[in-house]
Amino acid sequence: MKKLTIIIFLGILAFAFANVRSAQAQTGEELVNICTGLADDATYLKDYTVKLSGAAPGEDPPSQKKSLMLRKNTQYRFTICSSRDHPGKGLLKVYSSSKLLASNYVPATGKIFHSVDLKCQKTGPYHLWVEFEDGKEGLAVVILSFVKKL
Amino acid sequence: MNGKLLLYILIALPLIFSCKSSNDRKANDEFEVPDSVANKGVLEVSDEAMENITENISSHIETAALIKDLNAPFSKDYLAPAGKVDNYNTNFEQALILGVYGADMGYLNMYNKTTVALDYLSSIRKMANSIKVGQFFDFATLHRLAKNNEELDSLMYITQRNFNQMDQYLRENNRSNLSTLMVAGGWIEGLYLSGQVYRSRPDEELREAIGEQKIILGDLMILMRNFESDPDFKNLIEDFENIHQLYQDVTITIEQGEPTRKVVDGRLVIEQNTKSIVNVSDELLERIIKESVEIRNKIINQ
Repeated sequence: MKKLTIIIFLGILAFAFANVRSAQAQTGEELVNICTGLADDATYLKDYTVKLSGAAPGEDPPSQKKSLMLRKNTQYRFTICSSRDHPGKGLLKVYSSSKLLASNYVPATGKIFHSVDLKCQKTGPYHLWVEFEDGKEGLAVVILSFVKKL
Repeated sequence: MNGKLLLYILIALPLIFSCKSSNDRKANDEFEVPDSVANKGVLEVSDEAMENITENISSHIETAALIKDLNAPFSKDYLAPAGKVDNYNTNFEQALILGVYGADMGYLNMYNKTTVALDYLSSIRKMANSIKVGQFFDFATLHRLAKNNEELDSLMYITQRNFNQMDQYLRENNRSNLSTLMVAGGWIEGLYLSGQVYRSRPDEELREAIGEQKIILGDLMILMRNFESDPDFKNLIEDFENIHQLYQDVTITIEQGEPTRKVVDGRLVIEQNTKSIVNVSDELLERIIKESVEIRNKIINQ
């Protein structure tokens, strides 16, 4: 009977643990909602979820590319939010014709901003690259939002 | 023996319950897709390229914001009628009109016309259900927000996000043809709206916005040609080919410049100094607008 009680107790513990874990894990969907809030008064346009594994020693940090269309005379906001369940802090870079145009990371100061505004003056395709600081494993959401017409 | 059995059950329980939510979601998301809905034939453009091209087609928000910025008065006459949904019986027609309504919702939301938006929400739900993507459309919340004229930012956010989710789901489930139709419908409606506003209130920026659609139309044609073996798509491509030909005479030049960076109120702001300049004559612009009216009216009057 004592054995049975222990078994039941362990089972309940396992059940509770599994459910608490699933309740606490931050999903991409939650990140989208949090990150949209951080974009302040800008209007949501699109979201991009990026999940990357960590870089092996000596390897370049893994990154993921997304395409997007931006329009002239428009101020856009890129907001990036990294999941608390993963070690990596998200870095974003926006390229136009393979030339770096904007990033939330300023190498000179080492500062990482959670968002960056781009005053776009050229309509066309752009590329968004997302990677994680020091090539760590991570999950991040980037929200592209519309701030205003210029 | 009984203790062991109980142990197995108790260990299995958490696994069953912790997986339940994802299984439920799967059951809701994965509908049986009839043959008429799924892609036909082999796509010539890879899935990745399709995704890139689709992402390269901008949202309706920028167009609607530009129109509003011109202080152009709201006009319901510009919108496709919301009450004709019963006329659209095939998945082809339903996906196209869903795109049209998406652009109209952008315009309605930008002008905070929530009462009118309710009619469109109802039609969008019907069309979304018809092509089996209604599960992504949070009609109850949208209806409540629109009806109470509250949290307009949330209304715009949920509408836009639901459309993105529908589009993504279609692309991920071998139904890129319907995603392409939604994009095509939204694009032509956006152009139609811009053209109508331009006719009533000519403006240099709006002229440029219409002209620069050349870039987006180029991508859209690639998407649509991927499905040209379908007779309905073939007809649609022929219609779009007319306006595509007109756009060949629009010129876009680029002035190079270096970006500048500054921090404003704690936020990093990048100013792009490379500029695109669009040249389109009055006569060509009017021909483009006229063609957009013809294609759009053909779509909504099916």
